Amino acid sequence: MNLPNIMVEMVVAFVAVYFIAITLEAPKRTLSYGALAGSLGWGVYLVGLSFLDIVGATFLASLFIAWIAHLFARFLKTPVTIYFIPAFIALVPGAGVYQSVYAFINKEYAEAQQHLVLTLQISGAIALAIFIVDSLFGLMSRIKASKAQKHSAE
Amino acid sequence: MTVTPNPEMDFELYMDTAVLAGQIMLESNAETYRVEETVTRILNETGLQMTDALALTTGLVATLDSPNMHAITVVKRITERTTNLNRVSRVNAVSRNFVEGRLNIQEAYDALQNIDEIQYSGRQKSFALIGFIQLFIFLMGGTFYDFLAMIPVSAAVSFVLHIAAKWKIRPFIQNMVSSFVIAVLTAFLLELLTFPIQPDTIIISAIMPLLPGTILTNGIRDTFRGDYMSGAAKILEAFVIAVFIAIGIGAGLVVGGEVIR
Repeated sequence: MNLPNIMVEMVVAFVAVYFIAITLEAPKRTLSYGALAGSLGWGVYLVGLSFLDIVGATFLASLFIAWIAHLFARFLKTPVTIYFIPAFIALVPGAGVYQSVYAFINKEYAEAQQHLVLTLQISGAIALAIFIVDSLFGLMSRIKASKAQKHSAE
Repeated sequence: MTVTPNPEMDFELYMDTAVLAGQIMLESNAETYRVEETVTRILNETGLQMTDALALTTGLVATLDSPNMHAITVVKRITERTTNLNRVSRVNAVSRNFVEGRLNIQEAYDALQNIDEIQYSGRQKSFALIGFIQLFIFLMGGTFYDFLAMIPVSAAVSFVLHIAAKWKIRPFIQNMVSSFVIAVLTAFLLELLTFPIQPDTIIISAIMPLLPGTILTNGIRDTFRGDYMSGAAKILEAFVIAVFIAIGIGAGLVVGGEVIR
């Protein structure tokens, strides 16, 4: 996929995430930040697709979104979920869950299994990325706190 | 080191505040660990020796105890969950202000009780839903023709969900009915429209707001954190929701195909 296409899709993703954030009742002042995280994440995903498979590209984009969401959360003093849920909406494998169940109902078991495995891999990749970034930020704040404690002890 | 309970302190009010905060957060689909953290933080303000909270997707238990008083334990059942990021954010702000001493316990309790502010009107939310579906089709690889064919479908989804919310219809039935409507309309459009459309792309974009992708991912996140009960509950919830949507779509395609023929 070439660069102009990616730019157009990022703009589309920005507006789409903005809209879904409204239906999820995101606080007004955080709407554009969530949309920004979603749009940049979609850009990373599209770039990642050019040299990785879907799971790898999703993992890369999720690392990026989780990181930027933590920055926004610190900056605006809000819980990080407020950016996670809208920003990940384009990456989470909702369609995959549906496709695997639909194939299962239609007795196409091989197809159902394929969809199911891919779905679990994608959501596992997202969960792992969030887990890694959460742990890193937690570690950083603990290091900062212990440094501050040492500082005040002296 | 034993802490003597201060007789002036109204422990029950602390308990009510903490449980109310936890209940609002769980009902708004906040993460389980964050709910436990918030409840424990509010209870810790009492200075008692033992404060503990256990949050599950479907319920909340919190306890407050010290050697020289009777333990206070509250169980709260959570039956309905809809994602509401504003309420999560407001509870977080109240608990932060309370712990940092800017609110006293009575003010925090009152603030939590009046947390339901309306940010967006029903019309704004319906419009946002239509906008999301219409744009999402491009991210799924749809063409401009799909965008045009999508307009009646997204309007119908928004209408059905609006009516369902008004009459407080169960979420599973809501999902099934709206997917049924989507599938019937798509089957019609496939026959009636002269330009080529991709029915699969249209259906998947239209059910996107209903699909449990976020719930599944949150379930796996909870499992990674060691909250196996909440994780398993959320993963199961995701598949149950998907089953109802798939039934709706399957039935709608059959009915729509038969009617048009």
